[in-house]
Amino acid sequence: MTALHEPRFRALIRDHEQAIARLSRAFERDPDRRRDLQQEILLAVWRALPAFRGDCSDRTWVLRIAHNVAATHAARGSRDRVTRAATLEDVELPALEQGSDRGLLLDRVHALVERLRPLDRQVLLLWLEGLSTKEIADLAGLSATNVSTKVHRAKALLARSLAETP
Amino acid sequence: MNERDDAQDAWAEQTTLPLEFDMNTLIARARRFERAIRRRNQIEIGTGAAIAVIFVVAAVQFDIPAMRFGALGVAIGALFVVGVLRTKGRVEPLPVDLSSGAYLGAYRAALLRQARLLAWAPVWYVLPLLVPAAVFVSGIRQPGEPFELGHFTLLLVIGAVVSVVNLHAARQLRREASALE
Repeated sequence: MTALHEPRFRALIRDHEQAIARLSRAFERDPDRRRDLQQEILLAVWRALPAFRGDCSDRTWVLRIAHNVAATHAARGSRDRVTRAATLEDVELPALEQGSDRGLLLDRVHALVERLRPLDRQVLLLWLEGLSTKEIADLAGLSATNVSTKVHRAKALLARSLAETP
Repeated sequence: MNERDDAQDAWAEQTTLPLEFDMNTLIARARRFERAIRRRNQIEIGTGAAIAVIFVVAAVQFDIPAMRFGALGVAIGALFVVGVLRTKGRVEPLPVDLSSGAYLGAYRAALLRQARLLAWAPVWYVLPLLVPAAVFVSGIRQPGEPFELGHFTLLLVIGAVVSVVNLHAARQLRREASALE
């Protein structure tokens, strides 16, 4: 690893820091642990950069690393507790508080993300980041049909949850 | 309402703090990471080799057959344990930019492999050292002295503690692996 990579690294982080920040917030509520996760992601991007040959877009590459690091970080955190993550088929969302529409929706989204297993969580997060079905499928290593089904389920869950709001 | 657009908009509009990082600290951390892996390998080999040498020297010096054979056994056991650690316990770092399905699958498989190894530690780690150590200890008894249970009890306690610690670690790794399903 040389200083040659530093400008490229800085540019990558500058362009994608918002996405990394949103992703790390989705995986870690605790601010200190979230900062640790962000440092882990930055370190992983830095270490992987010399081998990056541009086979995919910068965004896909950074998000792929960020997701892989975040999923293993979250799994490490589960060593000392029983994991309760669910799939999109069996996830249950808690009752809602009153609030603004946008705030409620974001609360719903976070509540859903936190309860999902790694791959379902990844699909939802990438969809929220605005990636196409094909991009998500490539990144997650799933079929496009599988991704579409998961996104459809997530959207239906959010819609149903919001419709139940008092 | 268009849930898709609204959810994506709400997501994108979240206020997030800029990422804090210092390039020098990051580079230093990356180097420490590489050094830590190299050092772990050196410690594994160094410890095993040191134990083997010490007990081979002890085997040569002791006249009592039980102590001689026991010391030789401990030396062979230490080399065996290092061999298992180097072959079956080795963790190769995965390329972190693999597709997530492949990465998490491989990561999970590695965790389960380590968990199995730890769960079997009483067999490949404790016994190869404990049995020859017991033979060695049996030679400490002077002729005519009553059978000394203290040393054997101590060995059994050490073996039990090491086994329990490894089984606990195996359980934690399985839990971590199941969180990646």
